[in-house]
Amino acid sequence: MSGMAKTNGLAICLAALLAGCELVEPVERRICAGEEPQVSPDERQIVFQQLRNGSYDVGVRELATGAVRWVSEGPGDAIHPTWAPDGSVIFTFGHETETALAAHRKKVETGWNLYRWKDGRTEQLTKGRFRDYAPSVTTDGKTLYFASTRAEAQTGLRSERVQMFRMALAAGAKPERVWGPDNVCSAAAVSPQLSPDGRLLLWAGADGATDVWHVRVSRVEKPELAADLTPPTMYAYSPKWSPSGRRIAFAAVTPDFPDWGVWTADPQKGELVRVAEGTNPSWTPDGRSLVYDRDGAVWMKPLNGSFPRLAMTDDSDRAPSQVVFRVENPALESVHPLPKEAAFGSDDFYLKVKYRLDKPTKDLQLLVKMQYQKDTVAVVMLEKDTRPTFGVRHDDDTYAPLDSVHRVAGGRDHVLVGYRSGDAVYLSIDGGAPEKLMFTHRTLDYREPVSLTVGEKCACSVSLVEVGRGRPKEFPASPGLDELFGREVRK
Amino acid sequence: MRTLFGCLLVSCALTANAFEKVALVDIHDFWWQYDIETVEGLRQTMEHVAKTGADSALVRVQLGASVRFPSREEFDGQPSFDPPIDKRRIPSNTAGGWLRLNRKEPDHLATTAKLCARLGMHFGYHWSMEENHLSSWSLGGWNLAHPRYWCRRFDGPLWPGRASVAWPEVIDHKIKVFDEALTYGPDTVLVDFYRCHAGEPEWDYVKPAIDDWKRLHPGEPVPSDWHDARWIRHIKRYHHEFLRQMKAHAGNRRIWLGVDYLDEKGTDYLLNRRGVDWRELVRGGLVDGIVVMSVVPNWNDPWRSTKRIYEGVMRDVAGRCPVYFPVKAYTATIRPGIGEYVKRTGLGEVDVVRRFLEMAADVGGAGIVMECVDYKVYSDPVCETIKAFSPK
Repeated sequence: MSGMAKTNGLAICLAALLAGCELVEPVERRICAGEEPQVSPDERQIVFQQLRNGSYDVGVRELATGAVRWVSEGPGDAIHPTWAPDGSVIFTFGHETETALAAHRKKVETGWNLYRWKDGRTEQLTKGRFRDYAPSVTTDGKTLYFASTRAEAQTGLRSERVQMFRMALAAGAKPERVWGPDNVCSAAAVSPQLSPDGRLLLWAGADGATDVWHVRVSRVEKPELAADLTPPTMYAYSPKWSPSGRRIAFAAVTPDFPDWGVWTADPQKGELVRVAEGTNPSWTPDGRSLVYDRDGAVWMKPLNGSFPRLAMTDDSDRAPSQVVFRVENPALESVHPLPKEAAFGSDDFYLKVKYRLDKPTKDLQLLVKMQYQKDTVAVVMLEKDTRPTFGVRHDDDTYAPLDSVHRVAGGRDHVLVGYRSGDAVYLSIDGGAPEKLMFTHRTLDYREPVSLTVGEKCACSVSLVEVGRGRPKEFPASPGLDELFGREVRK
Repeated sequence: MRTLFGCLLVSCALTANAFEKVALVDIHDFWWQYDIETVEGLRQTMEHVAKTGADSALVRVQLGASVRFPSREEFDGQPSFDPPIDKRRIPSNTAGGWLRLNRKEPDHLATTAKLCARLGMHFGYHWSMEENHLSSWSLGGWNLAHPRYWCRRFDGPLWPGRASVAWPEVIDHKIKVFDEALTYGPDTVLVDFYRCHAGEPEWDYVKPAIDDWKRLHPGEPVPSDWHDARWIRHIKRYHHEFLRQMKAHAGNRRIWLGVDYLDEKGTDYLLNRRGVDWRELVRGGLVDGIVVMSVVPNWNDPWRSTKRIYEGVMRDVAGRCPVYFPVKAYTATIRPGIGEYVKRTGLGEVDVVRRFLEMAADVGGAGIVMECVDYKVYSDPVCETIKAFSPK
């Protein structure tokens, strides 16, 4: 749902480039070879991952002396280290000793799991044939957030999906799913981190193979309603809260800065600042510098200079939707003229149908079809196994419907709401969380409306059909940055 | 040495059988049946392929842009290394999502090449550009490291991790990977744009293409509609340049080009949807073979319309290079396979396949292509028919 912010909800526009003509950037300092650096809470050490002899190890370097202790060594890869407030290091470790098929057949219980290292001792925090990665620890040290594939089945061919989890920071604690994209291939919510005040959740999300990664923020209790902190044309990932919770650092590229850069966002000032070339930034505990990686080395740069910056503006569209067509209790196979207001072009629109399927059927049920001059462009139907489908046509003449993962029981009323927004379609069943499908092509412009057909080839009863412009009320808008940051973080 | 061995193998195979039967193989798709990360699993896979009667196996070299050999170019000078979890890739939790086919031991391509030799098949590549299966997990390391080359649509969106060949640097990179892959001794490389959606002119609104447009069409705005024939013609130059460089680097190996969705109306899918003019490439001698991957027949008269499509291809090629016709197992969208012809014509599958074989030979085709050979998708009787077929 958060992805809707990209196109019609909360959008952040690039308003200005390069605020100053003369930029005096502070000098960066190379710390050591490595990646994914983080400075310890006591500011005396830095943890990082490093490629050594063909695999990754995690090391802890004393900033004063340069001495390094290796948290992990030998076979297997240790990656994505992060500090807990008590000075322990949490990281992901994986060591594949079996081939994929052998591991599957033997029901191997290890994958890429989370570990804690403290005072020279290592303990395993998570188990299972999953990828648990990109962890963070809450400021109170009690809870661990991480990204994982653990909600996904191990069968099937090619699904790619990652969701956010949390658990008490203790061995044997049970991970709990926080949120993540459902029924969307190649979609993910990665690098979750709770704000220092515990109110907001931050992560990087992508909603499909062709979607760029966005830095997203939500209230912790409503992760399904997230605001995109980064603009649609910016690819941004690996976000980290500043110690004060006022700013966020992340790695990104934009059309004007097409190489990997370390950026900060200051939602209260409304600006995005490009600090350095690099990726995987994190803050020093005093919030005055960033550490990051570039070309296999760890760098540190103070923030007390001038940098290229972009302005953020919140132009969230919270206008109510507008009904352009509505019919109650239409006869099956009835054809209704569509008004000219249904010429949506590339704007957002929705199609709602309330129906009842009295008995399961093996045939496809076409509930509603919207006909335009050029083609049939939007339909809601039930597949043979009663899974609802909503589809629109694309400008390459293909028709790619969103097939729900849910089957809908017969014998009672159901409400399906299909929503087209930008390059994606959504489907909500009975007010439930919308499913989403993104496309590689633009969807067709909807011009010259002709007619709407109800219940063609359908053994059901339809009690309501509604078509409207904009976001339907079943799809609540994401909160704006003013709501998320102005009232909460600022105080 | 590997190259020399491959060339010797080709000449033997081609002499032995003038009507080639070519299997396109995505070894990845055998992961559920055989342990394809082992030499034994690869042996089982290639033996399964050989049972189809194929005298040539063209295997996929990459999944997405992740190549299936320890490439120094792809992995930044670190052969046989792929970072375990990059936060920009989205992992798959399926068992297949744990495969690593770019290890040094066993070397996937070297092992497959040896197995082909042992099984009497000549070895080549189905070069599917940046195909879209496991489309995030398989993003190439080089592509991720170079976001400035990513594909872009006219209205702004990037296709993250997919690089456009309109950038000369991208062609240079791909050619370096190609050169590395050639050391395994393939005799044939089938270039397939169909599986690469990021290869569409829609996604080539990148700086070099736009700058070139402005230079070549002063005063003319860049077409906002990627279907615009002028934009497709413009983008064609980059795709053709890539093929030209592949051909130049291929030496005596054959470069084939796959064409899709051929119909009686002459719809040119490859040109309109991928910015590649196969007829122009044939005329220019830049390809050594045309592989018809699929046709779209008129179901009112399926056999005669299929044959008319075949004849149309032969006319267009006009003897400049060999042409291979499909014996296709799968039906995908409107691209019919054996099963669809069975359903539409009422013939049995063996009869359908026999017709495909005879038709390919009748029109002067150089052979057939099985697109694609997965586990048991060609039944035993079909395999026997293919194996036994010899043009009259």
